[in-house]
Amino acid sequence: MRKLKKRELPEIPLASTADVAFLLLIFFLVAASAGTDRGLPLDLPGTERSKDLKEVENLEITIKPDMLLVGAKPLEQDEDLVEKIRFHLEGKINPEERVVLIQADDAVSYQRWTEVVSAVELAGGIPAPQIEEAGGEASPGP
Amino acid sequence: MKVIRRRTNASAIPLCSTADIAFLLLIFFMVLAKATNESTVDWKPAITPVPLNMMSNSAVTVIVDRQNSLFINGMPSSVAELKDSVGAYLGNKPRGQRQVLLKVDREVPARVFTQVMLELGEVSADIFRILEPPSAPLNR
Repeated sequence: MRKLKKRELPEIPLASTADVAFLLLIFFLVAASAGTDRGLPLDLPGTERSKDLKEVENLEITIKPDMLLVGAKPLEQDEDLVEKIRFHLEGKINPEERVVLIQADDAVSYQRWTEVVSAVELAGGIPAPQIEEAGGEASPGP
Repeated sequence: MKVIRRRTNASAIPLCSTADIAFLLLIFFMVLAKATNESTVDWKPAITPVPLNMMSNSAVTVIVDRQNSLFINGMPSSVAELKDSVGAYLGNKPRGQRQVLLKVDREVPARVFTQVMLELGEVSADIFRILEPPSAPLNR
């Protein structure tokens, strides 16, 4: 009669499991912190284009807490803003002519300001925030 | 009488992987330290319908949180210090390499964020506003 040999069961080596888990943890940490930021560039006073700005008459938008002025006229509804800016920029090809000056009241929120800047961008204009310096005089954007 | 002595092997802890472990720990804490700095700041990005671009990592990140407090690379700062601090980070880099990520909470008033923008303009920073598309959840 044949004797049965005792055979050892094959085992998967698990010594490096902790290392692998640790590397995966680091990978996902780096991946999560690296890929979340999305945004848009913003031209500011001090750029080369700002020198030529005064020579061209640009559209100016004033944001107040309760209303919006396009040129000197108050705007009834926000939905019309993109169309209104498009109308003003019609026929203007040069980038200097397409600059839209944006002046915001002190109390206006960043969200509101971003909405107006976005409308200018969607209409094909170049938003130029007018920033008031400590002396009170507004400086033009790009 | 002959005494048979048993030979015992001296036990030793294998130290081959010590360097690997130390290196991994170093990387782990470096990444964690950077992540912790900014994650503690309470800010929600403004929403825009304009298609956004992915931003690469920048040398400087300026955050204005919901309480109008200013942070440079996760460290508390002030508008008065902003120009010098950001200028020090950017050094003499040419235009196009002077990228600054601007993260402003959507509730921050214009008197605060325009001042921050003015200071960044003084050091000729290439500003990138970090925003959020409308479809993204409101709470971050």
